[in-house]
Amino acid sequence: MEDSSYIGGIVVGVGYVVAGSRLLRLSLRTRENPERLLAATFFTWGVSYACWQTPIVLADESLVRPLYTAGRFLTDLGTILSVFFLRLVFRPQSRLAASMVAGITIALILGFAGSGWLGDWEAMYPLENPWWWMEWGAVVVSVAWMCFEGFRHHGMAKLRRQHGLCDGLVCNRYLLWGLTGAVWTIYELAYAIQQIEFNATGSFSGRLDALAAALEFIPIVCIWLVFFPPSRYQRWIDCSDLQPKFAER
Amino acid sequence: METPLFDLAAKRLEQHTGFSQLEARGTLRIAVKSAGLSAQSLTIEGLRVVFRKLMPGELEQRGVSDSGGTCAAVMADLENAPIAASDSASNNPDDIFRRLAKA
Repeated sequence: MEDSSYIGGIVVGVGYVVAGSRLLRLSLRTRENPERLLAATFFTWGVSYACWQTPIVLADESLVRPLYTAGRFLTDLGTILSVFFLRLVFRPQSRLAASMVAGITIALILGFAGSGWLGDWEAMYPLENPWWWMEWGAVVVSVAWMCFEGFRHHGMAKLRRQHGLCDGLVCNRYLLWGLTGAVWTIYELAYAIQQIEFNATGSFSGRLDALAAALEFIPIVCIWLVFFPPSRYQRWIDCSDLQPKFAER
Repeated sequence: METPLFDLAAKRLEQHTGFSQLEARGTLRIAVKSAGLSAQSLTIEGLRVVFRKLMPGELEQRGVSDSGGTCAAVMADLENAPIAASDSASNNPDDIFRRLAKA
């Protein structure tokens, strides 16, 4: 891995922690569960980045196992919280969504515990550890679900917008949410290739490392535009050619 | 599962058009979907748009002569129903995504 590769990880981790903190503050005002769940998700992922990056920053091999294990645990916990959010917001009455949440949660727990049972606590050896694939598969399903809901609701919101039932910013937020899920899905595929390569050769390729870093950075930008859109961005969306044909409200 | 407001709107549509229950619910579901709405989180505001802009065309296609008058009659029934005032569906995805951007 590049010597400075941790800088991108720190930036992304700080981004998640700040996003989580702001949503937590909102949840204290509104007392609503969607913001609580999303705040916990982002905060957990942010802290997980600290776990991943600390051994690299300190160049301390002895910290790798405990902190990578903690990082994996927090990443999985954040993923579980994120699918609870998806179900609560997009499909609160769906039994299929409830089953998906249960399935993803069980797969993550089994994948985590199974990897530990085989001694691969850091989850670095997909070629020798079948539990790795269970954990990875659960994450892929969760981010692909996010992508699906974002793009599906964006399509519906565009129709509502034509009838003055949805404002342009909300419509755009669905698009960004779907894009975030799509980039995370691609990231997970790149991550799997990266881990297989590491397992096979004992080192990370610089190109894949750069690609993974870029793919980690894009969702943070999207999340900021969804939840903390700058006024200039809001004006740009408002002035776009997606203006409602009927302004009846 | 559809909202009680959807069930009521379908029932009123059935009464005013002479459609069967299946026809009324199907026609309403098509119009609701064309507006980008979901029968699971339908509000009175959404139904106003559906019955003003989309339903007249759907009814004409199905041979209803006074489609505009029929839609107005259904909406009048719905506006007076107590369920219309209570059914605000404030936790639909639009409201949540609008609220979350105020963090």
